[in-house]
Amino acid sequence: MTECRVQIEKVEKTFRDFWGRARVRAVRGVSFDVAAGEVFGLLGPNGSGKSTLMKMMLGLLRPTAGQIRVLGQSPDTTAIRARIGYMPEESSLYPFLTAEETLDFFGQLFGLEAAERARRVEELLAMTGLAHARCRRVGEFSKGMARRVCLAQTLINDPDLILLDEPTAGLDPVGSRQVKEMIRALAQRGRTVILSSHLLADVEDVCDRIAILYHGLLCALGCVNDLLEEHGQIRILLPALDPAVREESLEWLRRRTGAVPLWEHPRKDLETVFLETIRHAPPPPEGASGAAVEEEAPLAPFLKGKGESAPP
Amino acid sequence: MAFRLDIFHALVVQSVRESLRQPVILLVTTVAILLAALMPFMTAFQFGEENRLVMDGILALHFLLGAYLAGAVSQLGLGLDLQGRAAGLILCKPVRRAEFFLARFTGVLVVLALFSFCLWTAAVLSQQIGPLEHGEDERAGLIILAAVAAAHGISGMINYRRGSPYAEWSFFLLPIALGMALSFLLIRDLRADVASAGRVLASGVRLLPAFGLVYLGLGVLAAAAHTLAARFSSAPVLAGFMTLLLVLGLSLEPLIHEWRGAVAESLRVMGIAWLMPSWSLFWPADALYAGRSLPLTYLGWAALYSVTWTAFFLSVGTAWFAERELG
Repeated sequence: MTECRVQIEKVEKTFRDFWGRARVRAVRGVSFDVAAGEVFGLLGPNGSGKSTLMKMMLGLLRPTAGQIRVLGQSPDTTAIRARIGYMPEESSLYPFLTAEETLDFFGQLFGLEAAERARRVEELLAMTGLAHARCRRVGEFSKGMARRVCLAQTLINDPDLILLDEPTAGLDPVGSRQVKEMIRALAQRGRTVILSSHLLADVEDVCDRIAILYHGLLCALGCVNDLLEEHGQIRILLPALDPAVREESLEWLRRRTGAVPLWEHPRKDLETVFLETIRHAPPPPEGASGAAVEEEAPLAPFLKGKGESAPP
Repeated sequence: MAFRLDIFHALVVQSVRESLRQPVILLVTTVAILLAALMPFMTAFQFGEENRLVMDGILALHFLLGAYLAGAVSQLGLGLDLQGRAAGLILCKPVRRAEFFLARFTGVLVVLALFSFCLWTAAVLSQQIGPLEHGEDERAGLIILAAVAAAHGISGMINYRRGSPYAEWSFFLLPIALGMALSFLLIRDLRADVASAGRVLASGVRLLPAFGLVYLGLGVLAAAAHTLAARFSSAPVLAGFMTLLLVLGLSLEPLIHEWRGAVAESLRVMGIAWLMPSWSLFWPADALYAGRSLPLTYLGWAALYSVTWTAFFLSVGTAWFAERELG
């Protein structure tokens, strides 16, 4: 049986005003489990309770009712947070620290030795394409670059459970693709990832299961494929046909099934077109300020597990 | 999970580093040092009271600008952490809330200690400028200005060449430059007149407990500001509360004196006396009059008083912070 990493049982969260009166019911009786190695998506419009639920999993907010178990313990247990990585919706970093100092500081909070910290910082800066901007203050970064630093700090402790709140918000399509590939790679190595987003395409690309929240209520829960598959229809992909052959085939199908078949040329998605354009663009000039765009950004070696990690 | 000294140390260092990189902290410290250096030139009052006026002025600068710094560092530290949600990012790591709160406060104390050291050095140097009994020495004033300029100039060069943070370097170089200026004066005096160098040293030793006493008062104010920042992280609200606390604490002594005359030893007097710290207890100017020094026993009692109030404020703050939801 697969180990359960997160258990949410009938959780409610009500925010109160100064006088203790109920102001907003952000989460209403939500229950679900997340298994080890699973990529679980929390979907919903703004204000549906996704971030609130994540903050309750981290012990930053306390549930009004219900129970939350994270890695088998209460989220208030300080020790289990050493096994969790969290990327908040807003980057919330110290603006006067450089990218390198920021990662080193967060590494210290996990009690990592100086040499190990230095190695991980180096690898994470390379992974997020920020090696050239290591000495720049985070306050000077664009939103996307700050998101990359925030992502790097999430992974500094090589966490078992990773909570990502809108991880691709503010990232360019290349960064967004890298984050999605990284999430899949981490899940393959047994890490559990819970991400919240209202970018449906991102969730569809990486998640095994999703929960859809609306006004704090859990409206749907299940495997992405099960929820998306339309069992009443099929699509047949063929090489482009001669118009006469195509019409003949459609006519045959019409006669044989009684349905009206439709045909269209398949479309590339915009992300693929964008990435192809970037791939063929001239190299950046000397002193360019943005994040380095490498489509095949490697996963930091320390995140690949003990067997695959390069020695310090 | 046991208390981790390495994590606490990392949080304190981060707190100090982040505070010192805020330009406003450097600005206030530099202004305080320059005003202390210029104080002997600004005393329009004569009648042999110049020394006392200079020292009163510098101690007032130390207390008032120190109180401002205590509030500013608390708001820029814990207050902004709560508003900008960096506190949530740190507390989802294996860091206890109390550890974070107390480490942030220790950072405020370190910044105030550096500020107090700068002011003490400037006060010793400015004593050399204008003591009538020994003759004015305007060069001592120039040395202070040169030390401040050197600290800023060197930081500017380091910033230009290596891109290191200007404000942080300036703040660290200021006490070093002032210390070197003081050493320079001592060596100069030693060569010319050993007695004069002895006077400089004696003045420094005599002023140290007085600045220590003000620092203890600033510690209480910092604890109050830090505690208030845990609840009211917005700068204007915090500034309002701090002003109220400062004004009430300053007027407490005369109020008690007044009421004592009317209602001798009444419960009300006792209650008010214990309701908030009295800042006049940390005001050593009178004790320094006519070359006297602050009695160390008084300093000991003041330290006990300060630690008690600081512990009280921090206990309230820790409890508030433990209950606070970090949404």
